[in-house]
Amino acid sequence: MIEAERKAVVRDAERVLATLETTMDGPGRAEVYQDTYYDLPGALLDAEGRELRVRTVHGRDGARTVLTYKGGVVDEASGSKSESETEVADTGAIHDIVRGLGYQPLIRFEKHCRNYSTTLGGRQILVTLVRVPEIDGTWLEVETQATEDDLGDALDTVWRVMADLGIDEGDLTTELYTDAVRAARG
Amino acid sequence: MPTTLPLELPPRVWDDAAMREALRARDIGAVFRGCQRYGVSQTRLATATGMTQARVSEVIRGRREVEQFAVIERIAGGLAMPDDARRLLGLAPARERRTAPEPAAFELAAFPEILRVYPRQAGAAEEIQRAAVAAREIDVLAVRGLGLLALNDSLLRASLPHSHGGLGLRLRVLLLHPEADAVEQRAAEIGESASALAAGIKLATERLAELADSGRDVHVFWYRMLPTWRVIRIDDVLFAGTFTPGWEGHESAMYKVTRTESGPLFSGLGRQVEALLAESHCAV
Repeated sequence: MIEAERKAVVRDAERVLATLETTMDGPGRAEVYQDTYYDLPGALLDAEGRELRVRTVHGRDGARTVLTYKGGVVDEASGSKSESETEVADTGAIHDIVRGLGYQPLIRFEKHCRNYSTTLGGRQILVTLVRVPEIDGTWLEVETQATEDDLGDALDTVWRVMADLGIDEGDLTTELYTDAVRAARG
Repeated sequence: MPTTLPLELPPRVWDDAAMREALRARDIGAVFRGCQRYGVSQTRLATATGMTQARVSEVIRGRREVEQFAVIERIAGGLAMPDDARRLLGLAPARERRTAPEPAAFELAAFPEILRVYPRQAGAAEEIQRAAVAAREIDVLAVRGLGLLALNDSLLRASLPHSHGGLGLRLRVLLLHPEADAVEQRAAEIGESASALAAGIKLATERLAELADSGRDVHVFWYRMLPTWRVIRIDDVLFAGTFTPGWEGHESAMYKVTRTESGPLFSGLGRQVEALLAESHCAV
């Protein structure tokens, strides 16, 4: 599957939060993501825009860990990537396995998220308000699953959700949190 | 007082997790090393803090510790530390907060530090065990650590030294001093004899000493304060309950708290643990 996703800088976070709380399917779910990105020696995955990530999600229903592989970018304008993801039962074991296979931690950081769900044009949409403690600002991420054939339609739907929330097209960004955190850490 | 030439560093220097840990531990050597990562030379650190370059070098290499309050105050001033960094060092604020209260209120409303509420510790046990096996640091503030002993298997696995395939966990456990006046009060609150409670604390300490004897990084401290908070911190996630008259600690509801920029619970409880560690007797 392809994760059809767009990301924007949020200028008026309080207004967007208030709108999200009243227009989505239920109130926001606060979650903290602890992300570790792995790479091969020489950062080969990073060089090709690919990602291998172990994410532990702390939320209202406990903690769960997912392993995600993202292939290269399939849509330059949005930065959307093909994605495979699976939940893993043992957080310690998956870190051991990935390291044992020769991958090294590239970067580790936290995302503080407030997640919302909605449906538009027959698509399940995930809307997330994001803060990353080490970098200034609040972000909005909107994503849905797509195939290669309907990626354009999926991205249009994603944009409609963002526009309804008052996001300006000029605030769309393809900057990666990994790059921003690395820059912040010098 | 020596002449100083204050040094203004980018604000992100003080937001770095390792730096915040160094400040919290009052480890000035680590603070200086953190500044070096941003290109600050030993000479510049010396002129900023009114120390000689040789003294700065000794501190950086861990050959000398900085403990005098006046010197720490001078270093904080010389490095123009913002108030939150000064607070981590245990110093009073020097100037206006960097962030206005409104953003903090927004952040805590949108991204609250309490992520989950468990009606009893038992509900949190599975999550605590799963988190422990991938942890680097665990701090426990308890009375006799009954709940901790119940988690023994996961702690055993997690506390394997790095050289034996583990993650090299550091485990610090604060238990009530078996001879503290508070033992009698706490025992009465839960309907036990003081001698039984004291014996329980010693038993838990012995079990943890066995872990330490097998080469694991395990330390037990005995504090004397009246038990108030029950805290299990696993890296950046903290589980907090309370010791209340009539309740055993594990009967308290527990909050799962994460570290956020403005959250008072994580920082306050973390500070409480550090303050107790600083004045406690190291039993193991």
